[in-house]
Parts: sequence; structure tokens; C-alpha cells
Amino acid sequence: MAAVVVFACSPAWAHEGEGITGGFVSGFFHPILGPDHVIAMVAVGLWGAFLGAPAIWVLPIVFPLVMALGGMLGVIGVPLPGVEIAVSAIALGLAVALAARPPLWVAAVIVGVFAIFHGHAHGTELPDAADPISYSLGFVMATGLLHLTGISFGLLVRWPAGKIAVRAAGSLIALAGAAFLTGAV
Amino acid sequence: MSIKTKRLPVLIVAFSSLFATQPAWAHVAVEGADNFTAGMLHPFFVLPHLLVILALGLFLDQQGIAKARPALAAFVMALAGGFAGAALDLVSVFPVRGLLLGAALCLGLLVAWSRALPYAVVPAAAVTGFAIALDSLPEDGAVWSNLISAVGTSLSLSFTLLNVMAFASMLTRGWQRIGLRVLGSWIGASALMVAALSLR
Repeated sequence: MAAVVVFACSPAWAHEGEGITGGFVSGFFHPILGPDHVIAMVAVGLWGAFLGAPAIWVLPIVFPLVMALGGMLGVIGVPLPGVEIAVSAIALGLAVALAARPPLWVAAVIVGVFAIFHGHAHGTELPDAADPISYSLGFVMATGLLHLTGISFGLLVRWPAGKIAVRAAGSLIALAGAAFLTGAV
Repeated sequence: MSIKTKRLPVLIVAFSSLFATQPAWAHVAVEGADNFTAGMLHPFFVLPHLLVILALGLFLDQQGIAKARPALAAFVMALAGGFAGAALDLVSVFPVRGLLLGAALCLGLLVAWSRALPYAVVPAAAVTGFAIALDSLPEDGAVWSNLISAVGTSLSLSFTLLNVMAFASMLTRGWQRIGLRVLGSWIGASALMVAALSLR
């Protein structure tokens, strides 16, 4: 899965919020209007729920901060290899679909790498925002709520049928990621 | 208490001072409101102020009411000091914006970390109160109207802080405490990214 990270591709799709007035609304809708961002962040939540404690609660606390580090790199113009957000959807979707349960630190590194790239994609937009702090708060909150969506659905893993549903959702996310990556949708 | 913990307040101030002096945020006029009301409403129109107060309230709640009492006194005194500093035009030489962002970042991280840090309580409250007050005085008001506005803002900020602490203290379940830490993480992350704009 880590090898998937090295694929260098085009920029992310989630930039349709540009037309909205800068500020909280623009920042909030920035991740939500990008379907690749949506499925990747939901996958993060799903995987966190699948991994159980402490990942399920460490994840929503640490992810925004690591993402902000990536955002900071984007803001100050540090270039990163162009990693398509859809790649993270594929990797994380597969992790859920395959019920991967690596050690916590391995999962944290994988998710952390994606968080850096995810934040970088948002950070490059921040300097143009009319109100940077509202913008950043909006997209951090939206990202957190997408995680929460994934975590909530992922809690179904407590039941056998729920586990199948969650793994199926992971498969769908991986497929959707592949479709976004290849331009099929 | 470890050396790292003792140094934390110093680190907070030092980190904040790294940011260059930049224009203040808070000069929102409330149309049609008298000075006192405008002062009271002022913090609710300035997102960075709200975020810092929210983070401080969550942090003080995590430290416990007993340890928060001296911090509340320090907060009120720092507000007075900040308003006095604003009246003396310290805004033009002080990195107000950096101080606010630094406070938001540090407090957000501390809330996310959720550890007992008794030595950080009073300095954190003092820095926060000072920074907010420094950024809250109307630009063109007369002395008396500024004083009335400052009283309104101080009352508003103090009650907001107490309300945040009271509300947070009611959230005692495990997942609720984690939710509060997530809030801190969001505040810290937002502040970090905006602070990065200063490095461009």
C-alpha cells in the first residue's frame, strides 16, 4: 500500500469551492465538493473504526494537525510530489476491504502521509481565501465531519453483517478512487 | 514537574513572538449599538478571538476548576493590561495577530494533548487575555467611549470563557471528552495553517 503513495499524478479535483466567497463556507465546502476528497476522508474514518481503539479516537485528533502541517507546506509553497487524492482513496479503501490490521504506528504513518498531501492540496488554496482563518477552520471541520461519517458507519463492524457492509464500502471506495484516477468519472 | 512542563509558558510566548507584526483583525463596528453593547458584541464578530477563548475555556476545564481560579483572575487582569496597551498604541509595535495565532495554536495543541499542565494555566490565560484586549479597542473612539467599550468587551469575554468552561465540565463521558480534544485539534490546525501565511 505504501508503494501506491509514490505514484505521481495530477492535482486533486476538490477545488470547486473557488467560486464561493472566501471564508468559512468556501473552506467548508472545499473538501465536500471534491468527491475524491470525500471518499478518501470517509475511508480514513472507516479504517479507524475497523482498527478499533485507540485508532478510532486518536485518528480524529491527530489527523487535522498532521493535515495542517501539509497545509502549512502548501501555504509557504514547498512543493510536494503530485499525489492524486484518489490514490489515497484506493489505498485506504483497499485497507478497509481487505480488513488490514497493521500495527497502529504503521497505520498512522500511512494515514499521516495522506494527511500531508490532503492538507497540501488545501493549503495551496489558502492564500487566496478572503478570510484565511475562517477558510481553514471550515475545511478542517468539514474534513473532521467526513471522518465522523466514516467512523459512524464503521462502527457497524461490531456485528458480522456490519463487518461485511463496511468491507463492501471499502471496496466501493477503492473502485471509486480508481475511477477518479483513470478519469472514468 | 518536568523541566519541559516548566518551560512551556516561556515556549508559548516565544513561539508567539516569532510571528511578525501584522495588521490587527478586530475593528468591527456594530452599527446602531451604543459603546457598551458594541463592546459586548465585539468578540462574537471576530473569529480568531472566539477560537482563542474557546480553546482557553477547554484548556482550563481540562486543568480543573481549582487550578483555573487564579487563571481567571489573571485573564481579567490581562484584559485590563491589554486595553491599556491598546490605548498606548502598543498595537502598532506588538505582533498582535501572531500572539493570537500563537495562543490559538498552543492552546489547541494543549487541548488535543489533554495533559495536566498546572504551570501553563496562568500564563496561558494571561497571554490570551492580553492579546485579545490589545486587538479589541475601537480605533477612533474617544477615551470615555473606549473605556465603556472595553468594559463591555471584558464582561462579554469573561462570561463567554466561564460558559465554555461550564459547558465543557458537563461533558464527562469518554467520547465527549474526546470530542473536546477534537475541537482543540481543529483550532490548532486552523491556527497553524493561518500562521504559515506569515512565513510566506
